[in-house]
Amino acid sequence: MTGQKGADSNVKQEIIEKINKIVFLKIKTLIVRNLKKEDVSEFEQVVKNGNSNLLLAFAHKKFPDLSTKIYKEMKLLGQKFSQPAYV
Amino acid sequence: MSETPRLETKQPIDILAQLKSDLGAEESLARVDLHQALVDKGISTDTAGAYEKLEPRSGHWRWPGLISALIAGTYTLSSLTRLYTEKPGNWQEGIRILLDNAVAWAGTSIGKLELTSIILGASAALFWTLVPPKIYEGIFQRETRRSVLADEHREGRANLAGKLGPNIHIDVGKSDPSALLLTGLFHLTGQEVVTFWDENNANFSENPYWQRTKNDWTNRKTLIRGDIQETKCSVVLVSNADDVFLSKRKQDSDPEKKQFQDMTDDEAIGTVGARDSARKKMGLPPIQHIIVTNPKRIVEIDVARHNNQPYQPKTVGAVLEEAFKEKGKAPTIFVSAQP
Repeated sequence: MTGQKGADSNVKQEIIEKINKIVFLKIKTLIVRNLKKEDVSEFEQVVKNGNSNLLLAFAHKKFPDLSTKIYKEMKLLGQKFSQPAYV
Repeated sequence: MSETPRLETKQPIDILAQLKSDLGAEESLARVDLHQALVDKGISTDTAGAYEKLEPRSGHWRWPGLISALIAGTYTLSSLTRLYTEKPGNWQEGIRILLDNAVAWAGTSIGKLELTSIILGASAALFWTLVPPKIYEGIFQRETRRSVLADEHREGRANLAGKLGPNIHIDVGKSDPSALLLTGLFHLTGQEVVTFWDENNANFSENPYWQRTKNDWTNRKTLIRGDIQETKCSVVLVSNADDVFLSKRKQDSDPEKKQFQDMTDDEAIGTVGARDSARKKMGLPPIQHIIVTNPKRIVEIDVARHNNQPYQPKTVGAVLEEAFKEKGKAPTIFVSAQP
């Protein structure tokens, strides 16, 4: 029983990690799609730095409405998870 | 005896496995989407490659501490507001409100879900995206400072003055494995170490606190940047071209390719005076200096001379012997060992 619970917990953890990966990929895509030509050089510098916090801070500075767009993306994702197949 | 037909039910593990599989497909689509966006924007291949690999720093998909704290703070505040306005009749109802509030960020409600823990992952992401821009500005400034400091560390010009606490200085020269060994030993005793190198620090990852001297070992600014005010003692690795001390590696004979060299005697003696002088100007007492070298070596510098003795080369061992005989010897100690 404990083994079953453990396996169940591991799968859930993997799923949470996967969701977070998808979330981050979608956020990265939104950042790129919102880039203007004049932002590309700064964007490349931030990417070169390899720091995800810096990237997100850059995105918030450059695209104040990004949160709303991300929220919409996440809402769609949330709705997908709550489809009857999973309930 | 006939077997009771088993009721076909979908077990939670099946649901999870199915969801995991579907999410795999979702992740692939998200990757393709990101790749296409990079192509559409004409981002260079190098940057695009680095960007696709960029992930949260922890590597375990946990949100950074500050963000987590903000998520928890926002969640707690909004939950308390709901508890206050909805006034639950019992604790179960209270818990339902808390969970409902958590998953509400994912665009649905707890009443429609069983996999709450999964949705909480997405909920966290949503909290995270709604953090006020002012907070991000703070993060941006902090991260920028960090990256600048990291660059300075890599370049060997970080200003460490007053930042390290009690520390040990090690003058390395070009490169010497014994510097790594000594640094490790000092770290074991809880001491911070600042190493001083000619140019490149071969052990940056082991000890980021280092200064580039460009062969000027007595530069006051460099010593101050190395937090001389809090230094307890200095260790100078001297071999003067006969070997790289405490290692089997031979000193590079080709002056163009010199990669492994300790300091020379002149340089070592110069640093002793420079460190004490820098501290004296700060109103601080002199420190102990430990010069590590080979006792069989011939020393041809002034330190080998004694009072009015005529100049003659001596071995380090002989200098040591005389130093211990003489009372009131200057606070320079020679620690010797065989290579």
